Amino acid sequence: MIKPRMTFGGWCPEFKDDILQLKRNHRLIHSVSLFYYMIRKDGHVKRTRRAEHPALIRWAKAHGVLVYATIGGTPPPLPAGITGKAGDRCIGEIVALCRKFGYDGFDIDFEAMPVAGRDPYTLFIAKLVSALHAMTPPRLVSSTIQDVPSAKDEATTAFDYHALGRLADHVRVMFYDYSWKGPGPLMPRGYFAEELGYARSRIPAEKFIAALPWYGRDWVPAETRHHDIVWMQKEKETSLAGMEELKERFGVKPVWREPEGEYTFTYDRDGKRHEVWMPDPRKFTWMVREVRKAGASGIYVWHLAHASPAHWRAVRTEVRR
Amino acid sequence: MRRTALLAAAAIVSTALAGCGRPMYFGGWVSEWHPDVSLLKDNPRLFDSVSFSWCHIQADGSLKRVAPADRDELVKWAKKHGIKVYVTIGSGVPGITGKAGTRAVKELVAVCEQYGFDGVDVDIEMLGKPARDTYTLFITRLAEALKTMKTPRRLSVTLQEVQNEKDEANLCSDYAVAGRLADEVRIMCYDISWDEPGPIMSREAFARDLAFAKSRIPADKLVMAVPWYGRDWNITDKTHEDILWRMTDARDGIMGMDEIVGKFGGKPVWREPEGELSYTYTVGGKLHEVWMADPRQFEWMVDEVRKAGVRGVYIWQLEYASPEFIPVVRRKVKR
Repeated sequence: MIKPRMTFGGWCPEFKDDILQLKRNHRLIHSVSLFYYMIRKDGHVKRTRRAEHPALIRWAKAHGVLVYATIGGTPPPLPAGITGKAGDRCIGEIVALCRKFGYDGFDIDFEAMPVAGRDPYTLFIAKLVSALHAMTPPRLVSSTIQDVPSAKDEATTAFDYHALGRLADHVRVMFYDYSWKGPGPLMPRGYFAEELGYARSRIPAEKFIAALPWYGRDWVPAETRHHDIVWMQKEKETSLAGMEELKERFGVKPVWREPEGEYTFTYDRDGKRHEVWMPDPRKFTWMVREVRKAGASGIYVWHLAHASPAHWRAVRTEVRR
Repeated sequence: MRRTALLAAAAIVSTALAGCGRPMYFGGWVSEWHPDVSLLKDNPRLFDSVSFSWCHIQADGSLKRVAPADRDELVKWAKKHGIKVYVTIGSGVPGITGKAGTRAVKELVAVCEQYGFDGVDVDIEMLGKPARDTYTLFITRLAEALKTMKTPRRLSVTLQEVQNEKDEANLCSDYAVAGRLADEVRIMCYDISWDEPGPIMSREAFARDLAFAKSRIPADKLVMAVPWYGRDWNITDKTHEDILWRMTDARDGIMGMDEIVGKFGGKPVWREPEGELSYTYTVGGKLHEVWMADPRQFEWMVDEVRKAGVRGVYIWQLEYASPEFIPVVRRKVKR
């Protein structure tokens, strides 16, 4: 039996270079998630940009790219914003937005919720699926969830993998952010294998989407601060230097680290030592191969902006082959 | 010329095969009330699954067995014959809420282990809209617990029939959600007449039930539960009771359809547009009107289910059924 090709999609949070990337590479992209909304405590869906982009949405759909709108949120508006009447309001507004802008689906990206949010979140997804599937045409629901390596860890989160795997049309598991406070890999091989295996044991293959990093992190250990960087970013344009610019300006040579399976380097700027860990196309390639072996139906990336041509080559040769 | 003839013959065979379709899923419930299961025991090869009314969840989440003791042997017999066996459970709201619900899930897992049940059939009725969240969380937890057992078990949910979104909104279960969480969703297509005499299930209502269910539940999970029973209304006293074909007054305290017709004479009348048998008689000066599901009604229902392309049919209930249903099962369901 011929296995279907894996799908590929990505989030667009910036609406600048990510849209250029989408337009240049639309033949490789199955769906795109436009990060337009945040949830409020009363369930209101608040737009985070001045306006949506109807022409872009029409363009993507006309080019065969499914368009999701993403709604984000973290405590304190959550879990109140999805509970009881607030949750019903949120669902009502999502339905209205789908109708108004013709979204093919909604991606729910609620993060850092306490375990007390588990039942409200499951019920919210159940009701949202019911409401969006009753629309004409029916809309898709994607649930974007935190990565965990085991049932014990899952039980401490708001995400019931098994229930979401049954309820949602797609479950995107975010395989990144392993290191946060201190420098380290965004996703080491061993941990990735554990998490991938666990997710696959709970989520049906046809609904399981592995969300992978197309970004890196630049730590200043002395000040315990960090910021995220992407590949082709220019400091002049975005006030943050990307990987290519850092390499050039500071003459650094990234080192490939095993067993992490990720590039890292250090550089000094303004008298401060920086340590960078950066998932690159090589890392993306091994991750995609693992995802394919695990049997997931697709890959999503955070995020499309400032990706390098090598990333797109990897999509062509590893994901869409 | 010869090649053309071969192609024509192939086309005829292919059309004939397409018309035949595949055997559909078939099963039925055995209630806790009646000892007779002869129809099941005489025809094990026709059944894919059987569901036993087994226990009720009490307010504290503990299970109270309602199945008679002799059902244990019947479970073993069914499994030996390759029939999947479900434990059917009922409950009120308290038994599936919070800690009680957690206890109920644990005890159901234990019952599955103890008796080797292949799945749990949740038949919780009459809860209404206020219990929707409670019900959804209960079946969510139960589905997960059953799937993570050493040998994963199946979850069936049995839902009341509705014909549109508005009526569905008053149920404790959302069809689409049940269709996602459960492995099998059984829609009870009967009981449309209750206080006043009328069909157990008319053609029109059945078509609407089927269309609405299909719009919400994946076809490969959707099972239409159809009646093999009838209802006898005492119009004078404004009471009614359910009857089965081969019940007898002497043995069961209720006359079955065969006995009623034998005793009071005449013939039941086939009614259209309802597509169901009805019969009237007078006893002790009281006027009775009976509506009864029979093999002819079962046949048109199966035809509709097959046309809709859904998974199959389930029977309420198997005890004291007329043997005349069996040829229809062979010809229409398992063909």
